[in-house]
Amino acid sequence: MRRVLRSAAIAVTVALLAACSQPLPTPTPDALPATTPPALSVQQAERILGEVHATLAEADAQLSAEALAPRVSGPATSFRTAEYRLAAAAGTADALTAVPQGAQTLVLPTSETWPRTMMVVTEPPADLTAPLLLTLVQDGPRDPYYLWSWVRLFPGVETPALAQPEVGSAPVEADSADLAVAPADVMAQYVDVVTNREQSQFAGVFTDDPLRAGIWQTRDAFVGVVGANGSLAETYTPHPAGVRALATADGGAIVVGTMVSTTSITLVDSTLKIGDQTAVLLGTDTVKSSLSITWLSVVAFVVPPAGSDAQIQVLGGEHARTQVTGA
Amino acid sequence: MLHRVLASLLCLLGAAALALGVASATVWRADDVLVADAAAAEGSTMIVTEPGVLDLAADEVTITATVPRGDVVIALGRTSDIEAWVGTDAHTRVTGLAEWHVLATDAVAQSEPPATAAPTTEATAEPTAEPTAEPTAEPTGEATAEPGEPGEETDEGAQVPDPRGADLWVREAGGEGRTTMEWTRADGRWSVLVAATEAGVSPSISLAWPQVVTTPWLVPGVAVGGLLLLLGLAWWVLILLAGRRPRRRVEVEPEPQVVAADPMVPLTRRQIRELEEQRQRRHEPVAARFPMRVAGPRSDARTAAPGAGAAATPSPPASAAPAASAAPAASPGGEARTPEPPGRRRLGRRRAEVAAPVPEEVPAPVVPVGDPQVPPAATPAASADAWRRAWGLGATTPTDGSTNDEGGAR
Repeated sequence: MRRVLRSAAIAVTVALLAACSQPLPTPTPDALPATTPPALSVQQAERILGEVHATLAEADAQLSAEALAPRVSGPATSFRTAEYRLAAAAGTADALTAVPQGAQTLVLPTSETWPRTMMVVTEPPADLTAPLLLTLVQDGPRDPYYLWSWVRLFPGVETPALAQPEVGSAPVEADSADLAVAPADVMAQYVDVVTNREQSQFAGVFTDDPLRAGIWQTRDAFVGVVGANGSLAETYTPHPAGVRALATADGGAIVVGTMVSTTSITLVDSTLKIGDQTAVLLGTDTVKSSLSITWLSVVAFVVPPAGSDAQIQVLGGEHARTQVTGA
Repeated sequence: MLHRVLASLLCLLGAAALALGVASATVWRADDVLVADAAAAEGSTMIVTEPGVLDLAADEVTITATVPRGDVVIALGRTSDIEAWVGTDAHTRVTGLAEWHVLATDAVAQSEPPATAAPTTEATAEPTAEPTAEPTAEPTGEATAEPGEPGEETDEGAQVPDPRGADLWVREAGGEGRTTMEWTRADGRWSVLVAATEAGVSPSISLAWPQVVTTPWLVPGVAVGGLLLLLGLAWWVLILLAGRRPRRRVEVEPEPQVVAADPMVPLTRRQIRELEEQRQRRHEPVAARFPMRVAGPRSDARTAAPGAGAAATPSPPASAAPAASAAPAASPGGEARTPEPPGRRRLGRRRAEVAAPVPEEVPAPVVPVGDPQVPPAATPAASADAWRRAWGLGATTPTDGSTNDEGGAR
């Protein structure tokens, strides 16, 4: 009895003393997720779009390409710069592509590394033209997301099924083998089609699209104008800015690529009267010997996954003169 | 003796457990908010919390950042983003709690490989030792080489990493000198970056977690302590009782003596009964019984005293009932005895009237204290001496009234 009591007393004392030394809590972080969460939340994406929109608005007001620097880069800067020149010459803002702030669809990347790409299908602009597909790129952790490009979605196209922004879309490497055509090759093949038209071995790879039809039409028109008075050469090359790609829900990808077209006209003993935008960018409407027009094209494709027989859908494009020289 | 020591020990332990239990819920009660602080290592303008630190002690946390001068920023983001943003720059990592109220930190020096980074790395590693030691140690020899270092330090100061406005942050708070942010636990790995925006300024971070304060030792402490204390006390009582048992019989005597000492105090019925029992035990001779007539005058006085409007005889039915019922209750000790006092009275006074029907009701009123106190009828051993001792002064009329009341109350 006594022994029991004594040991009980000791036990109680020990327990009470132990109570005074509670262990320090230690961090128990969640395990690294099996699937990478999107690098951006919807709120973050909307905040970024808001800042891009604000920067654009400010630069638009001044028609100042420098003011674009904080939030616009790459082909978008080139397009906008040309538009500012046109707008300054025309005295109106008609030449400026309206970039709506509202987003219909957010395509947020599940990137852990940089650069990171985010795509946005905007609300239709106020003038009821086609919605834009914006591509925003973050080059490094301390860089902001820049508006890298925009394309106008072609009438009648159907945007592919995309993962919810809360789930995120996987980034696709330029040389990914998961697609029917690797993103880096998509642009090269498209360039080949633009260059060689129906003779291209890739002619059947892409669905018909108004962009390349328009390029051909313009070229043919120039050829007709120049006629026997000179020569015309037009070259197309993939832009070194590369391609940006994000996976779609079916394992395919949206690929955005850039192409540069150069139209060189050499005149023999004649003058060429040029009109509209080319003249504005050149500063004069008459050239006597040569004319060189640099076009920049951004094209968006929907590339099916590897093993699919489907064509690559040309989703949209933007095509504009960025530089005109001549004499 | 050993028993007493152990019993005392038990009491002591019980009291101690009780006190500790109570103290754990009062004096030592944990704070409602757990606050832990840390300061950036000298030379680093950034503090980063490791994943899991923010929800270390509660799902909600209030982050407070302070700097001695300039602005301070708190940026909340995914741990991977924050670490990527900080990159190779010197920073201080918060890894957990070093002790209550102190965060464990880990200083990370700048790990940029380029040559230009070398001096700054040194500067961050030994910020105080370097500048002071070198000028004094080699004031002449290194004079030409030195200027580069301070210059570079100020250069670096000009480009202190400023996280404000970065797209990576889920949320951001900033302010001059001090800023706060609240965060509620979310799935995933989250961190905050606290950064001073001025060169050479080391920010401090404070994390405050609301605590659900429990007092897990209160109930067990009080229960166990109380139990031990009770056990100890009970043991003591047993010990004392065991010590007293042999003397018990002797001690019964004093009672009558007490009564004798103060004869004015009337005895209760029980006391009287007990006295009788004692006497019985001593086998006092029957002859010593009190004479009947002693009761006579008293009962007269009794009936006269209360009965202002009620005559001795008419009163019984009404006011008698309660007294009658009280009478049996008053003498629970002996069932055999209760019927007897009435019997005596019947003999004395009412035999004719009472007849058979309600013998017990009638007697009660008249019987007040005097009669029940005389149970000796059943116990013939009761002595006249006892009565004289108890009622020593004989039947003094004034005391009668009071005894009556007392008897009635019983």
